[in-house]
Amino acid sequence: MQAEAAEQSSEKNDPETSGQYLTFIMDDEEYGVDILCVQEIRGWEPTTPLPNAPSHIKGVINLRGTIVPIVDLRQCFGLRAIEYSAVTVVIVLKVKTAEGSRVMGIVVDAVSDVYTLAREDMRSAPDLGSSIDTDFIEGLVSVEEKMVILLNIDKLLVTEELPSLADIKSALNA
Amino acid sequence: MAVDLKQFHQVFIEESIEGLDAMEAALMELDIESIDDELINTIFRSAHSIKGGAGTFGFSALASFTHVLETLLDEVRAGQRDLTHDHVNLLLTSVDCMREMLEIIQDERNEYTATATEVQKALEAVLNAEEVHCEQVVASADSDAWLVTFKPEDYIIRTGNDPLRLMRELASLAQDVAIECVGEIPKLNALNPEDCCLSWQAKLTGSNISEEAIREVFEWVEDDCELIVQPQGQSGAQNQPCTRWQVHFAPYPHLFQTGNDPLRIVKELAQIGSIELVEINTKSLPALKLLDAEKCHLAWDIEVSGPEKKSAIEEVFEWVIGEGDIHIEPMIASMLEPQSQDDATVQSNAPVSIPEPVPVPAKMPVAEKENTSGKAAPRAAKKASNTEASSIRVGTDKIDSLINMVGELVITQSMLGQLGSEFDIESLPKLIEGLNQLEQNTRELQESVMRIRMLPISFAFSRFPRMVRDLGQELGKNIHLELQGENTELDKTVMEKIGDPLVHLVRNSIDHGIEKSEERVAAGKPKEGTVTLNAYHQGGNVVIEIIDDGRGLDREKIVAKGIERKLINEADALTASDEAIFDLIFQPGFSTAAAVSNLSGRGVGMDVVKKNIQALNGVVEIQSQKGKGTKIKISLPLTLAILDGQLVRVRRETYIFPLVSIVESLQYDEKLVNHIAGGCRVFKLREEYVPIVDLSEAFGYEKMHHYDNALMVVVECDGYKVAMLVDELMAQQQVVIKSLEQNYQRVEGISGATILGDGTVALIIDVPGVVRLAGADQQVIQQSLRRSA
Repeated sequence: MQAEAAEQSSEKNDPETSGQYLTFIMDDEEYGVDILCVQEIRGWEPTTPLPNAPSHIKGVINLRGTIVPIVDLRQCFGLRAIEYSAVTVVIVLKVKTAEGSRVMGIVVDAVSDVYTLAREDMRSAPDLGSSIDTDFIEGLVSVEEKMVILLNIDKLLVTEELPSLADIKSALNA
Repeated sequence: MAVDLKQFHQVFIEESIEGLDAMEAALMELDIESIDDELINTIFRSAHSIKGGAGTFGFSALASFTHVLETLLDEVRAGQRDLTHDHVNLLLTSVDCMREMLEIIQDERNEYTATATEVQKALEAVLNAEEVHCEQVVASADSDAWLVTFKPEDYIIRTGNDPLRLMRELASLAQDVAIECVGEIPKLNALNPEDCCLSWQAKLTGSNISEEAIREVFEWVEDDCELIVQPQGQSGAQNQPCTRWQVHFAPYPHLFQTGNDPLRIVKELAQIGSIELVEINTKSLPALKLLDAEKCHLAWDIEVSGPEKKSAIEEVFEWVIGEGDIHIEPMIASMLEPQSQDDATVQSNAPVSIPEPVPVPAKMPVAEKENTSGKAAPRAAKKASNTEASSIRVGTDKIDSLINMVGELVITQSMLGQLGSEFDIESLPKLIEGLNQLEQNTRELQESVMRIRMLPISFAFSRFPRMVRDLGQELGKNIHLELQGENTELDKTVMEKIGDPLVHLVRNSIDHGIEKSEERVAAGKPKEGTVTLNAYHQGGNVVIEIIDDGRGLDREKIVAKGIERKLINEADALTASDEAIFDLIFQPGFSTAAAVSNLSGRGVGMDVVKKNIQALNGVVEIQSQKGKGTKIKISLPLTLAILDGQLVRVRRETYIFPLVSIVESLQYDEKLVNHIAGGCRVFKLREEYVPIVDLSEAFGYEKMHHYDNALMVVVECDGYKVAMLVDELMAQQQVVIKSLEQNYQRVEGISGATILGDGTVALIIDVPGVVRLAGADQQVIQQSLRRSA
């Protein structure tokens, strides 16, 4: 029994077949990002807005001497914007780009959990036709009957036009 | 032995570049009439160390090029050759060549450039042409075998010289070398380990070794030793490079256990040459019964032809040197070179009478020439990427002062820490004192860190003597360049970016400013024109001035051109100040030159110069007097990392104007504002109409409805004034520039960000960007202004 369990866990820890994901809640949906991209989690603090920036770019903050832009993921997914409160959370992520890596923060409702997920449990994102780009969805996975949407932040945060999740949702429901 | 020499390549390249700079500087200073020995020595030393380095790292192309150069220099140094003007020019071209070759080396290639081949030929031609002159140097005639006896004084080791290094260097000259260590070693009790009691005898064989080359090896110990260099006749047989070798290889029985495979060795031999004959010597093969399959009982006799050097063969056997008997001997078959012996004897016995007609180093470049011309093109493309490899040399004093500062900072920190752990209200004054000290430490530390990036401006100036000389020759003008304030220090990044604009301005001065000698004499000026480059500190800025005593700017011509190009109207032209008129030459495409020369006159350039200087947050202004000369004054911030800023409030946000761009700040006054076509407002600032840009509008905030309390910051942008509306003027302070692009992207109208004292981020305004953003582009505004006027 024990050996079997050990085997299972070692299988789970193998980066080839599984990965750890930090999940967060937005508008009662659970989303996950690769935990290795997460640099830190911090509370919301007022930002310095950038002139003429799109509304989902909340501005920049000073993160120990570096200037870090903050993206409101709710607005960027076309969800209803909410007032930021004491429990609003900023997840600081390291995004890989063609030129190297950049640090960005995303504003989410709350941080949920850390899951170890096996690759084989993931289902690929549904093809929603060419009108909606689903490249930034790494996969969908069910955890205890709930659906978690795994995001590929490297693709999500470099897209010039950030996608509207409202479209995706309605397409999924249809 | 497995030291990776690559790690030293960068150092070698940097040092060589410095050496080349020194050479160039010395060549420029050189006065043909009375040659200063010290200068020649400087030039020679630089060339010599470049050659040495290139040899050590195996950059043979550079080494052999430098060798020819050095030979010439050596003759000059020894007084055997008079230096002419052409020689100096040739030497300067060689310096350029070597620079190019160093760049190639930086690309990790080792080859000749097309120009290098030509220059080398020219150098050799110079060397050959006057061979007659140098009959007293006949000893330099080459022989192919030398006997070198080197008997150092016993204190040689204490002078820092290493006989072993010398021997190694000597060996590198020859294709084959036999070094014998002679000398009387005293009894052990009399032996002083710091004394050198040995002497050496080296037999060198190889083609084209000159006595000079041998003597050069011992250059550093000349006075500390007895050196006899004799040509040797007996070695005639080895005169010609031997290409056939007899190799006897008899490994010890345990060869296989060391992991060596004789077959591999033979195969490797086959790679470096062709194997004529392999004989297996089975003499020691025991009877089958006694045979141990794990032992090697065979020996080989191999005849190889091909490799020119014994060392090439030796290399193949490198791994088995201790594992068997290895004899490598050249095959002296008389049928191969029947005459060579006589030849050699004649040559070496009578070196005095035979001035060698063909000095040799020519061989290699000629052979390589063909393939280099083909390779030249890709190199040019690759060049740009490598030139900016950056490192910085910092004086130890700067580092020391930094360490001192850090020490003080640590003391202050521990003092504050202690204070904090047992704080009560009584010690408040102490705390304040401590904080003051901390502030001072921080400022000092910041200054010293900045100073590390500071280099004397002579780095930027050093290219000019050469350039002015070349241009003067090209244009037939007699020009004297004066450099002042070369020790003024400037940030490295600023220095790198100011180089090109400076070159442009100096060229302009020479081409347009300085007149031809006859004209100058006619105008009652000295025949020789003077261009002065001057640098000095003024406040927090570095000022660079380019002054010439040429014909000066012609106001009328510029006005005429300006009216023609509709940059100014006639009425304004009459009243405008000289500065305003001269500023017109910074307009794109503005040129009053009647004819376009290959140097300048196309009207491209001055606008680029101004743009580059502005990109550095600098200012450029012109003063000129017709007939007297022109003075161009550039002021630059000391560093790019820190900016003097004016903090302003726009709605609830703080923005920062670079202080250099601000002309003045004043209260908004509705009475002085005119609305003109296109929804643009202008403000009457004394005699001028200045367009107004509402910053909050430009930055996408709500439009202001009443401007009663607004303030205007008048800034200069592309030579025009623009008034920016802000809500409040706040403090002036130095800010550290942080990049927005690093984690985000370029934001129009913003040049960067900074962190204020309270930890929040403030954005730095990019004035031209904001003007573009507000649609207050000069063309538009000037047009509407003219229409309304």
